[in-house]
Order: sequence, then C-alpha cells, then structure tokens
Amino acid sequence: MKLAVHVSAPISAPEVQSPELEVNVVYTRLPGAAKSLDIASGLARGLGARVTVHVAQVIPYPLGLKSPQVPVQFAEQQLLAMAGEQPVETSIRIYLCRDLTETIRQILKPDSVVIVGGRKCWWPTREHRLAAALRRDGHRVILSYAD
Amino acid sequence: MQTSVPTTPSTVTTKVVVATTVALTFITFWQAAAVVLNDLASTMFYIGGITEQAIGKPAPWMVLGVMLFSYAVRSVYMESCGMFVRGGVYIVVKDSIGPTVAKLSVSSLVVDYVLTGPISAVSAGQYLGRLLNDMAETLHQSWRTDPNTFAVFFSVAVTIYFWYSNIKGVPESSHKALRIMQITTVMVVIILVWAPITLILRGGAKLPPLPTPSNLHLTNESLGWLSGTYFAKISFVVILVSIGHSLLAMSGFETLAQVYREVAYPKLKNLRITANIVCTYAVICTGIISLLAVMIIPDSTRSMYYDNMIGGLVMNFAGPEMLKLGFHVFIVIVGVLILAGAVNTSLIGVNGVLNRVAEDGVLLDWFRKPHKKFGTTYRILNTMAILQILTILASRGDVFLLGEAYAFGVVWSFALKALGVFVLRYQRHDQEYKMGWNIRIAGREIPIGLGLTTATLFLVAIANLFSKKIATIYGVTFTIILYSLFLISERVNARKKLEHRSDLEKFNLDHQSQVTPATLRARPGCVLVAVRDYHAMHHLQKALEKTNLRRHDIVVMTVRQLSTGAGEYELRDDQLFAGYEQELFSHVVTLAEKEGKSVELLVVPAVDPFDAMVHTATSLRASKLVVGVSSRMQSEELAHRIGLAWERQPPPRHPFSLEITHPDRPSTYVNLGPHPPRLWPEDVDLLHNIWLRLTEEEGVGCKLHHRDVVGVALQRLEEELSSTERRRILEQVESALHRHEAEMETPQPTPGDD
Repeated sequence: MKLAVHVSAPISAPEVQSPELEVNVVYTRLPGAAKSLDIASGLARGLGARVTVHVAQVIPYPLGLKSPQVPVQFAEQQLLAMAGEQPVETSIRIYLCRDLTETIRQILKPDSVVIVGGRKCWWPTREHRLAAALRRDGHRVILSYAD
Repeated sequence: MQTSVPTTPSTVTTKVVVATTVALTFITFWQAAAVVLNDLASTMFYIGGITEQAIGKPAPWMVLGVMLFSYAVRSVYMESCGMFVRGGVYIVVKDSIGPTVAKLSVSSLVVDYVLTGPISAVSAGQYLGRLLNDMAETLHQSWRTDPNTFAVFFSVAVTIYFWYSNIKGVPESSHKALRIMQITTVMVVIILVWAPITLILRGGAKLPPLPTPSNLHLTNESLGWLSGTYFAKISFVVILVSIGHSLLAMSGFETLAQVYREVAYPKLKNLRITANIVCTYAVICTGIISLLAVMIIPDSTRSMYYDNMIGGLVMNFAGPEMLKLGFHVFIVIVGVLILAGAVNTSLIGVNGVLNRVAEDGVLLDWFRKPHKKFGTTYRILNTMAILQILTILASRGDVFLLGEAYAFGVVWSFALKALGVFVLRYQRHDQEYKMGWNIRIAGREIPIGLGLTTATLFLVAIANLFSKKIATIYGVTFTIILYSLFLISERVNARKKLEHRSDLEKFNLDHQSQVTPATLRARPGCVLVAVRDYHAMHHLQKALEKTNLRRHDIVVMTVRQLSTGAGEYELRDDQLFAGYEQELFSHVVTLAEKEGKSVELLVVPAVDPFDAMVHTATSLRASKLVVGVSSRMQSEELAHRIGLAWERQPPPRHPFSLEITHPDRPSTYVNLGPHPPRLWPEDVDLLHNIWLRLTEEEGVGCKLHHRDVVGVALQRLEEELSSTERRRILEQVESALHRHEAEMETPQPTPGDD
C-alpha cells in the first residue's frame, strides 16, 4: 500500500533588490580563486556593488557539454564555500563551454569591471590572453595573481 | 541545471546564488573537421611503416584503398548521427542489438582508446629520437640514442603529463585542434610540393606494385594462425588480411559522432561536408603521403624509416641537408603536437565512455569516486593511465607491435557500429539520412550499400581475429576482462538497487495547489517538523515523543530545493519527489510507526528553504516549527535566518514558536513575531511590588492592572532612549543581558509545548 505525500505548489523566493553596480570575477581555474574573490569583495564593498563570479569550465570535444571532467556539483560546492565567506552579495555563474574567451566575451555586459584570477608566469598564460581580449572589448580589467 | 543556495557568514547577510548553464556553441564544418582530423590524421605518422612491414611494398595502395573505403564508413556514421544526435557506438548498438553486444562494443572501444595513447606517444617518441640522431649525424656528433628506449621514456612521460592534466581536470583548449590542423596542412602542402619536385629531379620513380594477391607478401607473422593453412592460399582471404593490416588508418572516426551535436545548422548537410573534408584530407595526407614515401625512399633504406616514415621521406627529398633537417624538425614538432594530442584525447575519451556506461549502471560506482581536491574521476583515469604505461613498457617502443594490437579495437568497434546501423534499418524508419545503394524487392528495402560495408567490416574483423595474434590475444583478453567487469558491475548495481528499493516505502503524490489545515487534515496549531537528512532525525524523534496527538497533529515537511525560476515551469513528479525524498520519508514513516503516532507528509518545492518553512507554518497556522540543529551554521544563525524569513512574509503574519533541537543538549526556543514576554522571576516580583505601591501607597486605586504598569514603563523607556539618558539605559540593558546569560541556556516554555 502506498502512503500519501502532499506536494505543495512551488514557493517563490521573495524579491531581493540587488545593487546596480557589479564587479565581475572571471576564473579559469579553481585553485587560487579565493584571492581574486577577496579583492572583488573588497572593491564591491567599497563601491556598494555586488559580485558576480563567472567560471567558464571548458569541456574538451570527446566529452558531451553536460558531462564535464569535473562534476558541476563539485565546482559549485567549492565556489559556494568560497563565496559564503564574502561580506557582499555574490552570484556564481558556471558555464560549461567549448571556448573560454568567447564564452566570457559573450556574457559580460559592455564596460564591465572585471577581475581575472590567474597565476604569475613569465610567459603569457590563458588568463593574460583573456585579460587582453577583454581590454580590447572595452572592459576595465584587473589581473589578480593567486601567488 | 541550476541550484540556488543562500549562505551567510555569522554577522552579515549575503546572498549567494549559483547557476550553471550549458553554453552551447555551434561550430563550422571546418572546426568540426579539424577536431576529427586531430584523431584520424595522426595515423599518417605510423600507418605506412606498420602496413609495409605486414604486407610488403604494395602497402600504400592498401592504405589508399582503406582511406577510400572510409567514405563508406562516413555514410554509416552519417546514418547513425541522423538518428542519434550523440550517436556513439555504445548508444547505437544498445538501441539496436541490445545491452550485451553494447557492452562488447564498448569494451572494444575502450581497447581502442587504451591503445591510441601508447601508439601515438611511442610514435612521437620514435620521431623525436630519430630526429635527435639525424641532428647529431648532421652536426658530426658521435652520440646516438636508441630510438626504442627513447620512445619508451618519452611516451611514459607524455602519458604521465596528460594523466595529471586530466586528474586536475585542466582542459586543453578545443580551438587548439584547428590551429594544429592548420600547421599540419602547411606540412602536408610542403610535402606535396617538395615530393613531386624530388621525383622530377630524379627523373621519375616507379609506383609501388599493385595490391594483387601475387604482389602481397604476407609473412608468417602477418598471417598469424592462418599461416600454413589452406586459407592462406585463398586470394580473397589474403586481401582481407591485408585490409586488416591497413584498417588502422581509419582509426579516429568515432570522433565524428561525438562532434555532431555541436555542428551548426543545417546539421546533416554540414556533417556531410565535415565528413567529406575529413575523408578527402585523410586520402591525401595518409594515403598519398604513404605512396610518396615508398616512391621516394629507396627500398634498401626504407626499413630504417618504418617507425618514422615521414621523417625518412623528408630526409630523402632533393635539396640541401640543412633545409631538409629544418623541415624534419618542423615535421617532428607537428607530429609531437598531433600525436601527443591523441594521447590526451584517448584519456578524455575513455573517461567519458566509462562515465557514460557507469550512468547506465554498467560500471561500479567505485570507479566514479571523485578526486578530493579536483573532483575528477581519478580511479578511471588512474586505471587507464596504468594500463597505457604497462602497454608502452610491454611494447618496448615497437610501433609495429602496438599497431598490431591496436587494430582489434578499431575494427570491432567499426563492425559493431555498422551492424547496429544495419539492424536499425529494419527497426526504425526515422533515418534522416540513408546510406546509398538501396533497392526495393516486393516493397521491402534492401540496403545493399550498408550491407556490403557491414559485411566487409565484419569479414576484416574476423580475418584480423585469426591473422593478428597479438591483437587477438591482447584484445580478447582485455575485452573479456572489461566485459566481465561490466557484467559484474551491472549485477552488483542491480542488486543494490533492488535491496535499496525493498526497504523503501511507496508513496503516492497528492498535489495541492494550496497547503491549508483542511487539505492536509492537520488542525490549526499543529506541530510542523522540517526534515532534510535522514541521518539526523533526532528532532523528529523528540517531536514524536513529546507531542500529544489529542491536542496537536504532526506534519513532517521537507523542502525540495529548486533553482530560481524553476517554479514557473510544470515540474515532473521525479523532480519533486526523487529517490532521496523517498528514502527520507521512509525513515520518517519508520520512526512514526515505532512511536505509534501518525504524521502527515509534505514536500514543499521552493528556492529558499527558510521561506518555505515559514510559509508552510503560516499556511497551516502551526503552533510550532521544529528543526534539527544544522551542521552548517550555529543555532542562533539558523534562528536568525528563519526569523528573517518570517519578517519577509506578507502581513498578517502568523506567530509561532521555533524549536531548534540539539541531540545532546536542551532545545533552543524562539518565538517568532510579537508575543507576550516571559518575565524573569525577579522582574515579576518587581512588577508586583510597583503595582502594590501604586495601588496602595500612591492611591491610584484597584483599577490599575500589572499590564498598565508595564505599559507606562515601556513608554518611559522609549522616551528616555531618545534623550540624554540613552547611554545609561544601554549600559543597563547590557548588564541585564549578561546577568541572565546563564539562564538563557536553559529551556523555556513556549505556547506550543505540551
């Protein structure tokens, strides 16, 4: 015999007014991401802005776009733990994509304030190339190094 | 694919929203062709040498023939892609022939992937090692390296590098494929220009002998178990065996099925163009270059270049030595890029395939355990990397040996895929594309083209089974191990599923547009218990023990968290009540049965669990909301969040009491909304004394009530808070707070308590 479970209609979250100004943080890799988020939070707090973290997870072609190498839940948990420490409103957007630069260029609004988290290297890394591409698009870009 | 989880640090309220989206971008047929060719064209670096060692000088014709045959295989893939957007071999065979053969096909595909890595890495090592020797010779240096030993060390290093990259989950840019193919094309064009110039300067060259049975010189090794038998004398068998030794040239076609989903509109037309580019490119670079190599490299020295045929071709071009050496360096760079890329693709591919079959319950969950730091399925990657390294070590850097073994996976995955598509011709009628040469007899379609292709692939696969001893032993052993693993995994998973289900209750979902005391058969004043983790049900246990069902009903609710905006869409039952909720409520029912008390069960889909709990308590006019202690936040924080959710509710807000239950200490009680305060005993005494004084000594009279005294005191307090006395009052409040801190720890009665 089956027991009855009542299911209510979905309950919407109450509307929360978000600040107008947005500081965007772009990650290409998770290790070292905390530092650029701290910088962004400090900046956003001073400006009364909110932080939006964009993580473009590039999926290589042999894999389907919905089957990333690193499960989405894993990345979400790591980012949630990181963002939960921040004193400002933070949105995290994970994009499963094929091309990092193109995806980030498509999602940013014109004239955005962007912090690109990366590693300090003497050769140009993908973060350097991304930052250069975003500067060419007219965004205000800060390159933040984890080390 | 969205989740929304609000979290806050202890002092400041922040909102964290996580949203995951698939950024689907469509690619041009050029990009799609580049991705496929990165796999397929890598064979040009080793196929010429492997085939010639197996069948003799007519080998390039056979390679060219196989590359032309790839147009037929292209049609098989196009037909399957027209039916399945992501029509890899596993999906096609499972849908057409069934799960048993699908498991076999995926086993052979895994053999293919496991060997792609070693053969590509060893071949790259051979090119690099031999280039170093050529450079040393040109520069008149005495040192030399053993190419085989160098290839082993190099390929182990490359495998470890890509294994670690995959463990970390760092993806190589997909656009690198196009760049690599552009560089490869430059190399191919230079070869196609330089080679004819060389032939003209040499006054022409003889074409290799045609692949007739009399010209095909199969060694005992190439004939395998057929050697010395009657079959070895049959021309048809000899040709089949020869094709079998050359079929390796087509390896990498499976990628065509994988990129189809990303091909831009019009998909099928663009797929056809992609496939034609791939086949034509493969005919030119793999077929023609193999032919040119035999024409240009003298017979006497060609055996020296079996493991780096293109390198040998360049070093035999007409021209200055330094120019040839420079181009040789360029070729090796291209070779290392494309071949090393194939090692990476093999690890990504095998990981993807095994994860895909694991989703179907065909592989034990043990293999899918995510890496603690990086989240990748490290056990699959470790296993595959170990197998690849063992294969490299066992081969001792011999590309021919690896090529022999590699053929097994390639040919059987092709054959089973073609068979799957053939069977589907009779099972389905929604083919957007059909391979040509179909005739109708008595109203029934006979797929001649598809049938012939399938038959050819099967005959070659069977010929390989008997002629390629190494491939058969390696492939069959590996396939049996994998197949057994899949079978055992499937049974274990099925048993688990069954066991899992047997102790779970069955539930009927009763959808309510509005939750009210009437619809839930719970009287106003009920006790609402929120549950989430069936390992932490202490609070429910306590609520069941304490609640007197004659006075209060019990409603047990769980919040099914939704993504922002999900509520705008109709949700399926499995989205509202999944396996977890079934397990959770089964535990609730067990506890309730044990206590002998009935409960009402409720699932509330919501974005914010706190809003959902408060909303439900309000709708049911509950007297008490009971929650367990949270592992993620302090009880005060939890109460604060629920309090904020209560404040967000539209008026009139229903007041109720919140009980946060701790497993090892007394509960914390909080009253939500305006409520009469519970005074400290000394304050009750003080109030009474003031009242006595006012009524008896000050002559106010007996009409004065205690509440009037409190009212006046509060008005005075409000006034003084806006006066110069503010600081002093705040100090008094602080000191009162500290004085009663110890008492705050003790449980306080609430209206909902029994």
